[in-house]
Amino acid sequence: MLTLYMRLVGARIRAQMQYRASFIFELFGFALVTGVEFGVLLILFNRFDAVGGWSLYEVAILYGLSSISLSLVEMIGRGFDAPFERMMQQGAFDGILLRPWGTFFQILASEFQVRRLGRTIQGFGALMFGIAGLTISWTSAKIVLLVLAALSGSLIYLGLFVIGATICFWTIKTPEVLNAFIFGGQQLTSYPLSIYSEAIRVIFLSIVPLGMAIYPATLYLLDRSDPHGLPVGLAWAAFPAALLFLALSLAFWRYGVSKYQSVGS
Amino acid sequence: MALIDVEHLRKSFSIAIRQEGRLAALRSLVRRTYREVVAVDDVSFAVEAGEMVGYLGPNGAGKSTTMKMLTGILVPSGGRILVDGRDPHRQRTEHVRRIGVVFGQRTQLWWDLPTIESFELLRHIYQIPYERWRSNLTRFCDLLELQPFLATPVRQLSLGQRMRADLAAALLHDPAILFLDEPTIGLDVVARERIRAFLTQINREHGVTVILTTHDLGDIERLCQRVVLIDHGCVIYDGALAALRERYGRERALVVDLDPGGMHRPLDGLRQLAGVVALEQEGVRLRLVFDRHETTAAKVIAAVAEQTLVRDLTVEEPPIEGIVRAIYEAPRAGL
Repeated sequence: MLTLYMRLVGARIRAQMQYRASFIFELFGFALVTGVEFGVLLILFNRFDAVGGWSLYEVAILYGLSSISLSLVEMIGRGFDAPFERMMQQGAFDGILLRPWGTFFQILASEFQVRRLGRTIQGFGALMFGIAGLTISWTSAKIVLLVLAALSGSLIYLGLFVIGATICFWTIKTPEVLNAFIFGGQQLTSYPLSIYSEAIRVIFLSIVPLGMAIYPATLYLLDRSDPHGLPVGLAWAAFPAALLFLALSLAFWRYGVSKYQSVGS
Repeated sequence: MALIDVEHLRKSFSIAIRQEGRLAALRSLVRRTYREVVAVDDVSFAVEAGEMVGYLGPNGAGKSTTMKMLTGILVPSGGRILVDGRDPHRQRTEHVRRIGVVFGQRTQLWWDLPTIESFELLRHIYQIPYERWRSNLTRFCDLLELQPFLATPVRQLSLGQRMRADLAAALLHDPAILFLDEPTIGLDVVARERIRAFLTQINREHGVTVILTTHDLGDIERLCQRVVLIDHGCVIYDGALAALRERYGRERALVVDLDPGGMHRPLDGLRQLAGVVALEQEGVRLRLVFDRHETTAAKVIAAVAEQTLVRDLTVEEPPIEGIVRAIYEAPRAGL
């Protein structure tokens, strides 16, 4: 299955390379856009010394992790985004159902956006910037949690993309509210969760557990505690929670596929 | 048991009704009303291995919906389908390994890549042993003349080339059944003929069972010994094409070339002749359509010869168009 994935993704990348000029333009475009995002953060901290008691370097870690986890999914999971909407509009999902592989696997393998690497690199840079500016007492648990935090975030973002795509089985278009969770979620988790109202904290710790993915792990990393009394040990629950979230979105996906109506020919 | 067994198949879609009046969009968000549209009402038929069957009907009759249920794309609302002993939707992955599908309007190939790359990807997707794949590809390249454009990206192929490539792609994994939805749509005469010849060959020589929908009556005449006709989601005829012609093709046309030097009486009187349905004249050519249940060709010829000097004449078989039209127009109770 992995070799087939590599082959299909390879084909997709070769297809993108057919439009080389546009590809290079987009790669730089994304690097620039995400660079500006981090610039805004720097400007913010030029005016204020801390946000919710967090220094620039500490926020840079949150921002970096959040950016990396979203960028990984933007790279591998965009098949569930705009290309999927197009697929639904044109009835091309029929073709997916005619191949002897699972639909989730095929949609995942239908798109791979190398240009999103721009954000990954930028996120990694921000993370390194944060780590370099702080004195962290490293333990192996902290390293494991750091990796799990980025991975958990990715799994939840992937789940959100899958939910958005599944809604297309009824509406053809992914509702904008999903983008509010995906891109809003990325912005939101770039700052300490403690600065938000209780309602937002509850939503992002339960229904869409993005708040659980990165924030508690960063607390653990920085030996900080949450002003609202959120247990730091929650960091270890992030990965199972993310897996559960993805599993639920996959169940929803399966249900959606069974409701597929195709299009009139 | 038959290779394809369809019993009381039904498919209905619920379609949201647009509401009228102010705040309609807002209201429809809260409470939508749905209308049930029945695309396939009650369809039953069976196909044996090795058959080539035309699945016909006017636009909106439910042809494509049936095809999509047979191929496992859509879940039936009622009834039962068994293809090669499997439920196409529930056992989708096993089912699609055994079938090939070409939907004329849409390609299954990788749009931006050279054609050969699609064939290579399909080898991995269907896990076709290399030797088998190689020999199939060589055979299709030969029969469909794919060689000249194997290196061309699919998006640059002509419609005819693309259809040939799609046919090859659908058959690389040696499917037992080939489903074709409008395989010759938009093609010129030469391209059509090539595809028909190919389909005949894979059906006869390789025993591939073929189910096709088409609006091209040439396809039907050339390819299908058996036709299943549907209208309003129900089967209205299932049987041999020849019997269909016999049953509904009551009209024959007598084409007469008049002798330009001969004496002609006014021909309008022929219109009143028993059994004559229509009369057209174009220069010296006369076309008389008659109902062979009410009169005979001999009687009509005799009547024409009485009025005028005939140089040449032919009797035309009823065109399939006319037959299909007659069936569609006939009241359903009478069938």
